Amino acid sequence: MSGALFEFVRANAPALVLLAPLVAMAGAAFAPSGRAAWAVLLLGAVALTGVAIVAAATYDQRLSNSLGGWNAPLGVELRIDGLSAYGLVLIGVVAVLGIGGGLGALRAEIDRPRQPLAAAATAAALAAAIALLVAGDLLVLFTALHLLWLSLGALTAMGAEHDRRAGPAALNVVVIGAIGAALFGFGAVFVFMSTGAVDLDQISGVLSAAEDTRSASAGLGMMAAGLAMAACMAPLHAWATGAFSRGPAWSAVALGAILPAAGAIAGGRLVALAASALAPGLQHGLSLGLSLIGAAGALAASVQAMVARDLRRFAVYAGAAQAGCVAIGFSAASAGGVSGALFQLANQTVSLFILYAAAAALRSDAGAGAPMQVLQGLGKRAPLLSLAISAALLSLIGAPMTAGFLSRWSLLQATFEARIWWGAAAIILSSLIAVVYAARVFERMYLRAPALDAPKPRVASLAPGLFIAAAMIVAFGFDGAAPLRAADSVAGTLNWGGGR
Amino acid sequence: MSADLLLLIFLLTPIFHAMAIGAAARVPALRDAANIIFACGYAWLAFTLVDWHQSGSIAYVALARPLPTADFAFAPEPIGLTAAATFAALGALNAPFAGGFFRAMQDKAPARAEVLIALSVGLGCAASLAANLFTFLLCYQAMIVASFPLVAHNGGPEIRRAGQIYFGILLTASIALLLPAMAWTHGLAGRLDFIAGVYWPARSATSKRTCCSRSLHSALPPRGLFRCIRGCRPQCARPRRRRASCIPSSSFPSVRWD
Repeated sequence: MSGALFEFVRANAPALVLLAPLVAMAGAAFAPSGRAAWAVLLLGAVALTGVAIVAAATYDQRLSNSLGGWNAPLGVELRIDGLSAYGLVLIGVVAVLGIGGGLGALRAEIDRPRQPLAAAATAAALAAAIALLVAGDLLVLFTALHLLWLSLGALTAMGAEHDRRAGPAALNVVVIGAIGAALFGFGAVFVFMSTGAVDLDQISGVLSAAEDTRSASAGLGMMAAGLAMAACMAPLHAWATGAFSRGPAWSAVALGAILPAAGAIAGGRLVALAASALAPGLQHGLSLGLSLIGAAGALAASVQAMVARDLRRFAVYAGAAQAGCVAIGFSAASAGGVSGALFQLANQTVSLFILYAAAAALRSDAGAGAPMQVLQGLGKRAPLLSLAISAALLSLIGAPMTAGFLSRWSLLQATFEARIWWGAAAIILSSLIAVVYAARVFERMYLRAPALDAPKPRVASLAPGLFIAAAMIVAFGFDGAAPLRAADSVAGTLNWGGGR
Repeated sequence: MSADLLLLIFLLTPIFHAMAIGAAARVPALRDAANIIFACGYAWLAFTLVDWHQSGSIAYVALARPLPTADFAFAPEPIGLTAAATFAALGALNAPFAGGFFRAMQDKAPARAEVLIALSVGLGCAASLAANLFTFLLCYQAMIVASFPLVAHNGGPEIRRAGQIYFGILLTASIALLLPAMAWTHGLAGRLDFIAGVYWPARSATSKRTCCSRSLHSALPPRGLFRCIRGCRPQCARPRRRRASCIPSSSFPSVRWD
């Protein structure tokens, strides 16, 4: 019986991982209270993570579910390959930690009647993130992007009663997201017109045999721009500063770390497709463009983080800088580059979760923001919380004996190998700037006296998640063989065709 | 007691040293006594390590494997031991001086300064005993971080600025120069361990005793970096001659060790 159930879960994993948050969305929307809605949402996240772990642990070949009876080339297909499985486990675990610890933030900053709706919007955004990972064709990717922006816009707007700036921020999310989705849509049309297919495998096959792929590569470039927006890559990260620093702290702690990861993995899939299918000249152009944008974004966002005056805004900028480094890794278009990028992505996701969770724990009742002053004297007020923040910052710097060192190391190796010198320089420079902005935080936490009106940290519900995340950063810093092996094996499963 | 255990104790002593000073922070006499005793003990351990090494005991301690091709490991060799013994001896000489100095200056936080001195000396010794570039980088960066508050210890805007310049230049150099150099070296050689006789090949066979004694007594690099590849454990005995040859590669020049 259990064996049959296990096999059923494994065989239908692509649909089940998407179904779990969608069912949770429906359940949360009709829940009688915020707490009940949160419990339903947490259950959905746990179910999703369980299925993802089953799929990843038993992964030996691609799992695929076609939906709606639509066959290729117009078919709607969900699939789990190595890249999806990696992303699903990462996002599932961080979603459980964030949602599990975020009940206090949900109840504190969102009006009681809207709490179930907020939980439902969160579930919808989570479903969109999952759809980005398991999409087998352009239609699912396009739909996922729309669902992502609309649900996140709605969730951000729910913070308007607590902080009026959340209203314009929600509008920004919807407008910028619509532009990103439109870009993706135009790109998809270009690709469809060139290849006559929307299925990613078919597109790859047609492009490999085509003589002229310039219009398709233009389409791929536009789609990459739309996904870079979701990945929160500078300079396309303006939506995130509003959504996660002016919206409710709940949205930041539950979604702030995982949405960029989903966007980045979907973007990585496009890079792999281009690397396997395009002519060498076009591959080189796409790689060059991505590495230059990644390098510029990493540096620009690092400088922004240096002058940030709000902890959540600081986290967004730091995350955008890391996303630039991820893009540089993908731009190497090699197994080593993708492996480094994936490990860097995991490090970024876990570190960002810690920063957003810390901001949620340090939120003040007066406003939705968490100004940097709340960090003053935190080393004495909440030593364990400050240690978790320190671990996250050290990992973002790439300090030895944290997971960040290994990820930066892998990226440097890949950029040297691919001779992307500006990418290597940007990684080093962003690390140096990270030292400066992390030093500012350390100085506030450990060398300054606490402010008299500093809010009392509310870490109780977030403590398990913070502890697990910080432990992962340190443990993988001491021995990173397991996650690196996972990233290596995922990178090895991608088809690089006649690329580098 | 094995040489490995002695090395481990030597590496951990600064932590206990710092904890002892911290525990006795409120009693100046006890604090200074603890500082002097631990500093002298540390120097004694360093010279014991030298002695054991001269008598042929080879120590190697690996604490973690943060990179797939490099351990966080320590392996004493003549030059490193010479440096570590010097640092530890200077630390022992400095301990009574520091106690008197901080008393005479009526320092506000003498315990903090003494803790930082102990950690800085310990990290300097650890860096000199590093078995590979990664361990060296980690200990070196930790030493920069530990010594920065010492530079800025007296407070005041000018001194704080001096501390920031000290910290900024050293850390920038280690991240912007040493780290990419490490990655480049790893790309070329495939490893980060200090290997004997790669760049300055040994010219003649040398006995263990002669090799170590000469390098310690003259404090000169005895024909290269007397470190051995990980796996065969470091030893001073007659470094095998290795020849590096560049082979062409489509994407990245690599070095093959014949």
